[in-house]
Amino acid sequence: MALDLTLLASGPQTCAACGTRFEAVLFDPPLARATVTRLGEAGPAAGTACANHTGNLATAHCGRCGLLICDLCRIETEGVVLCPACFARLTAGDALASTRSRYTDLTGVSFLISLVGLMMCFLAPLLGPAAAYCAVRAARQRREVGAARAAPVAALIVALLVTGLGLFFLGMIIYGIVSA
Amino acid sequence: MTARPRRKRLSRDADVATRYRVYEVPGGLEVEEISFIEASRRRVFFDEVVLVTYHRYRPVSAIGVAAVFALLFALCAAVLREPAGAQVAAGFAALGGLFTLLLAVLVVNPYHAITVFGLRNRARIVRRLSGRRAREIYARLCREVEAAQRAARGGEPAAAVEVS
Repeated sequence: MALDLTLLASGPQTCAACGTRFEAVLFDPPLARATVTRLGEAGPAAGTACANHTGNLATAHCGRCGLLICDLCRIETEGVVLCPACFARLTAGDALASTRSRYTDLTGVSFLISLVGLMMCFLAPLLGPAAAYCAVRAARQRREVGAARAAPVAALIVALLVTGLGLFFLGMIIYGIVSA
Repeated sequence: MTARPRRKRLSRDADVATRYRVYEVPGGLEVEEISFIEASRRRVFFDEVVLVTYHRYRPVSAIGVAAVFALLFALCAAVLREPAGAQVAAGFAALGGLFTLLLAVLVVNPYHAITVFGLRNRARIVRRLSGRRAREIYARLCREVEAAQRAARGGEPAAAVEVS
């Protein structure tokens, strides 16, 4: 259901649908506006037209393709100025870390591999290192987003335990075969 | 690649299939949804917030689950007392007692929820035990939103925000 802000005010409220009492603080966010200089206002010698908006003065060039762009087209991300087309291409190709919103939780993958290794001990010598690799990559993944690394460290410890258990199990099998 | 500034976790919540984490990052909140091993991340920026709410609620599903387990273990203790002996029954009774305790805690202590509605996304911060901490977070978020929106307006003061 869409939020109808006209029904709300700051202060104590009661939900019209369920009767729950709650407190609310309403805000009036400022609208984002780009200030664009028209080419006519800038004068004939002042500059070049934007490649996308011929009436606007170009104020920058794309850091990837060099296209001249106005303030309306300018997208600044990760310290680079991009035109909308390059931004769309890089986002579609998952090349910009700041726009990445979906990812695989490698800590979960590591725990999952360790669990499979525990259930199938004869595969643990292979699955344990694979889980450890995922845990190390998970720690790197978390460092990139500024998150705590307690969970990947726990996953790494579990992976090493699974590896040890698998090697012990394998050793016992080999010992059994040799002694027989 | 440089590491991003450290984010601070504000809330941890889960339902049957998904885990939710809310972090405070510079300029906004980051919501992480992890379903099995697939995760998605979205943000609510302070300068786009339209509404912040605070309410308390009782987790009906958790209360139901705790009640079912408490009843189940109490029933097991009662049924198994004769055939399996007093020790087994006492074990089940102890488990039933633990779930009864959990049930009492859930009924007496409501959850505290702070919801931040942005223009595009929303973040829900759930605090389980500390209402005082939830109030602090609510007040701090309101102040930060107001400050961010004032800065976005170029220092022009926004409507007065009062949080009890």
